[in-house]
Amino acid sequence: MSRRWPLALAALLVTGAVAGYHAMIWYVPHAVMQKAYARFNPANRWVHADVLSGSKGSWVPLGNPDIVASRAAYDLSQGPLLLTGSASPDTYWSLTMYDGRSVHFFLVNGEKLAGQPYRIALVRKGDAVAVDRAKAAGAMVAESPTARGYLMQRTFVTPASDFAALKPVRETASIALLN
Amino acid sequence: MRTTQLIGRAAAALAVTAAGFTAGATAAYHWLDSAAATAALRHDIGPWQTMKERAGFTDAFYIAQIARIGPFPNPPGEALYFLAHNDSSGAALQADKTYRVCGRPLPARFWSIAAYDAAGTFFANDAQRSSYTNSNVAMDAPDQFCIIVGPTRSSGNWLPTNGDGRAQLLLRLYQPAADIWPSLTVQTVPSIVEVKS
Repeated sequence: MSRRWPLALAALLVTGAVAGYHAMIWYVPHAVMQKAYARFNPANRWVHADVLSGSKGSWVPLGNPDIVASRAAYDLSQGPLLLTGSASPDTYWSLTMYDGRSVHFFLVNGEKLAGQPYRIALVRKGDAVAVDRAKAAGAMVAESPTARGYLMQRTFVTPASDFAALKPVRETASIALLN
Repeated sequence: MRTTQLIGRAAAALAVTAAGFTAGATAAYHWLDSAAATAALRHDIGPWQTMKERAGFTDAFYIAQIARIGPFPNPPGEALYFLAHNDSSGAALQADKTYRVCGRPLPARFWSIAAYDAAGTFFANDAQRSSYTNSNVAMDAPDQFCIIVGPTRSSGNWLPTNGDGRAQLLLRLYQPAADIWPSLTVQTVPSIVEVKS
């Protein structure tokens, strides 16, 4: 047994290294999401940045200094959500949804909305009842693979769409439980 | 085998496993944004590098890479991101050097070029300037713009840098043209040329 002991230790070292490698690959996106949940707490409430992204630094690397962002963490544990609001006109606008691993799964932009307000039901993937309710309510459906995640609205600020002028449009955004 | 020997071996096994775990985790963290790991995903056009689209975005390593390098990007059909760590000659961008970034209007609804330090944060500057966009860049000619990137104030388009560390530039294209890839060549993307004093 003593002759096998060094081999056993080497095997444990390798096994530990492989486990550590995969644990870090799993951990990195989840750490980003934990940061988002902590920063945008409570969930299901938009936080409208009152400065351009990056004006005073950014909480993620390579923040965009030309985007004014509205962000929210979402939590579907109480049921599906209904997101309503309007796209900022005459500039780039998008709403992107990221799941619990920071992977995007839904995007709508101003061009797709063609000037119309949006009504989007955010439901848990596979929740057929919620999808039916959303469709009955005339809403677009976004199916989240995870119960929690992150929402981000991006508005490109241009001389023609200055920051102050965008504020009333941004504040039309709401998140509520889907009735 | 005596009890003390068993305890000693169990402790050694635990310590070796923990050391392996730590080494593996640390290696993974640094490997995620290493040049070697990103090489397989990178699409280089002149000095600009972008990440290739991955079908389904389901690869755990790729997801971790994105989370490490620049989390929460828009998907490729909506926005494209091109990062430059080097100038057009291949030399690393330095915050204490001056560069001339020149190009043509890019085939996207909106685009911007922003300057960052090595950590991906903006260079603090009195001009409150971190980027230029298609709507505020001054054009030299109808089909060309130039931006000076460097620590010394310059007339025209000037992106300030400071310090003596590395710099990086990020070119963003929002709502790029559907057939954009064939049109993105070394000749059509912005060049980054050091201005020798």
